[in-house]
Amino acid sequence: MDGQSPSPQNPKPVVKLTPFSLIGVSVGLLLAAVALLVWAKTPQHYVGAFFLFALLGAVVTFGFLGATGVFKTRNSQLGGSAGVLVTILTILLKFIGAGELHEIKGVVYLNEGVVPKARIILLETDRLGNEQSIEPKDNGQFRFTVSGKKKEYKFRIIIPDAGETNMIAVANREWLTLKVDSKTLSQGSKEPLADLQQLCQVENAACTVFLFDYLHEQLGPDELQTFQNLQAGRLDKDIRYDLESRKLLEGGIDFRVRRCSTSIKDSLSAKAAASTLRVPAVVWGFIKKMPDNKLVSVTTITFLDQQALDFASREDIGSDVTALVGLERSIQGAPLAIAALVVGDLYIRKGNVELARKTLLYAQELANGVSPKDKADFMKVVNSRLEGLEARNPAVHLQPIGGP
Amino acid sequence: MNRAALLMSLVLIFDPLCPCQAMKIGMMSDPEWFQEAANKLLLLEYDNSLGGSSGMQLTEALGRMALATMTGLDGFAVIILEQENPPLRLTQETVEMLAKRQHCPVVIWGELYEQKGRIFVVSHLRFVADAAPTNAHPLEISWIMKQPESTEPRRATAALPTHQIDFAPITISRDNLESLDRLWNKAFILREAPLDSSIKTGELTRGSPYYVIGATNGWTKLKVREGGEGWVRLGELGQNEAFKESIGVVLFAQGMMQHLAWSTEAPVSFDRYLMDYAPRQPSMNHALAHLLSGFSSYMDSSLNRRESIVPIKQHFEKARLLLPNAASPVNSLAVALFSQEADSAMGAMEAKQLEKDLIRTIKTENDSDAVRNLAILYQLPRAQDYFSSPEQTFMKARETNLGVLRDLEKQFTRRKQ
Repeated sequence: MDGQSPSPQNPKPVVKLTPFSLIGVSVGLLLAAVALLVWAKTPQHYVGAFFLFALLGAVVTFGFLGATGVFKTRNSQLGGSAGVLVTILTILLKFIGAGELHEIKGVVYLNEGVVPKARIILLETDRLGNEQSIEPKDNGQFRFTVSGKKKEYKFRIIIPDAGETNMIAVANREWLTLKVDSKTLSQGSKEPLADLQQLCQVENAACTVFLFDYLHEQLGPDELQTFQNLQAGRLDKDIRYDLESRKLLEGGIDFRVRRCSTSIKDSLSAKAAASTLRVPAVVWGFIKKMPDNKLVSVTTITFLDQQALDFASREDIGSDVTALVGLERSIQGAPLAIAALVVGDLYIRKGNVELARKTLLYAQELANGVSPKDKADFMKVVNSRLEGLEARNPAVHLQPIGGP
Repeated sequence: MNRAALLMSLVLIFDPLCPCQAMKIGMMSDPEWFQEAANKLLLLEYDNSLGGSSGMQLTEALGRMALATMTGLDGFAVIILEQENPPLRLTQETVEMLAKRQHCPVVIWGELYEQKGRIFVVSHLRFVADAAPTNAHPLEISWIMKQPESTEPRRATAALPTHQIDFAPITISRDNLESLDRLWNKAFILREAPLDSSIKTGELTRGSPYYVIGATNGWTKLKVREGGEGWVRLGELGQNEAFKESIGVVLFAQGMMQHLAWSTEAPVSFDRYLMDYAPRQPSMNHALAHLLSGFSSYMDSSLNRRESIVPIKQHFEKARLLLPNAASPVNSLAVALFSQEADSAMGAMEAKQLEKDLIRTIKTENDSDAVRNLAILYQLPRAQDYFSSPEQTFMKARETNLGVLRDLEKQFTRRKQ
């Protein structure tokens, strides 16, 4: 038949590929497809990779059909392999449809500017390319392609010579914003309290209470980070707004709760930390996940008086960190009571007797938030200050005419 | 400020639609919006510590509800300011600075925390006296006593215990978040008639001001600057049960603005707030609603004082129980009792209790209003009867206490200076 021109009655015979050429083409296609899939950054890259996989299937089918003689004509051989290509491509593209490949992009800020250099890892994804380096030329920007839309994405951000942190970004805007506060970066394996002054810098120590990382048991790193971030944000803002709403933050007193990313193991370390940092109090604690998945935490506040005093909150129990932090209720408990005591002391030092008395009376009202075993000590501290103020009260001689 | 904002502010200064009911979303650094509007409410973007647009969405929803539900005010405008980069830390000073720049006496802001598909929202409200119009109703009550032995009339006064209040956190679930998204998308569509099935005439554009030109059955007719107009459900969020809690702050702000504008609807708003929202709020918030309800009724000249004084006193009494150490509720009770005393004698028990409460607050807060109010109590024409002492004993004890009070007043004045 060789040398004859094909005609409908005399069709072209099948093409028989040599094993060497078939294997060579297949391996080439396979490598190209895998490489494209691994490094895919856009949906187009995924489509390209899937096309190469389908083409590989088509080439193998083409060779198989030529070698086995199942089909007798070249057209049938081509048709069979084209059918395989279309079938494989259709199946693979369905995965893209189901996963809704799309790009997420964002900017990482460090304090008030874009981060100059960092490594960012997209957590909770099965993508291989879930890690990127941010260089100064990137202006803090990153991009990932993900399959399936989520309401929020979790990232680990590692900043050279500064530390690392885990963050969650809500995917409601085109550009995700990850704002990293250098004070909240964890130092990984550093010894606790080793570089305390460097780790927990603050402008106005007298108005600041430091919140240290809680010791923990059976808690995942993400869950712990979420707890720490929520606790720090909540204590800082809610205590400040509560005191402001009672006109107790007057005369430039800027009370703040700042996070210090290292742990405190006992009261002795807590006292040492408060003395080193020259802050009036430090907050530290312990959090544990129980076998029934409930979370239990105990918060202790070490207050520096003539001697260090530990005031513990009641034990908090919650089904998740939000319940533990108490996001669903107004701020209360030992942290608020001790904040009032700290601010009362600041007014005494400033010589503002009225505001000192008013703030300490508020601390007295809040005493029930301190654990029962520490309440007496707390009241003793507050009352001793109030008694001192009473001696300077100009209204002390005023007595009711109508009787007591 | 960018050029567009400058042009827009120039346009608004000469806006033929103002005074009006209007709303505008601007940026924190913007100059004053709606200069012609007499009553302006400022909302600052709710801080979402994890980023994302939920904070702005919630702020805008609250602003729309305020615009849709405000009654009793002419020339009411809502200004929403969005955070810029870097964001402004919202402290007492920065909130007051923004309020003064925008001439908005009432400011709302807050925070939200998103966790596992739930949002926890905390709101705050601040009254900024320096940003209020000069003819605004004061946030204090007073009563003037003409003393026979003195040419100077003495003025009993009671002010609010604070100008900032916090609202209890509210929780919005994932399901409700999704329904917020649906409502949100729907609330941007302008329709030809106040019906969901009516033809779409346009959409609201974020950042562009719009003006209320009509309202019916929960629908609001808006005119958009670009020329379009149509009906929209501005306050739909407030009718959704899941978001009912979030509008407590809007209702409180409305009551406050109505009070400042001398509207007789202020007590109605506060009484509604007290019934629907206050019991779950922190004591300061709850007490302030009672005080403001009492203040508004006290200053309403259309009410018969003799009949209205009893519920007014009840409001002040409830505030006193909620804030046992604060001078404000006791001073308010004093003003109400003095006002009542002009018509009929107060009870001796009431007078003695008031004296004790005033002395306690003077000792705890060194409050100068309480000092003046106690001096007036001692000089009421029927004072001797109230304290049921023999004349000589009463006169001597009164002179001693008045002497102490005069010294205290001098000391407090010196400290303030």
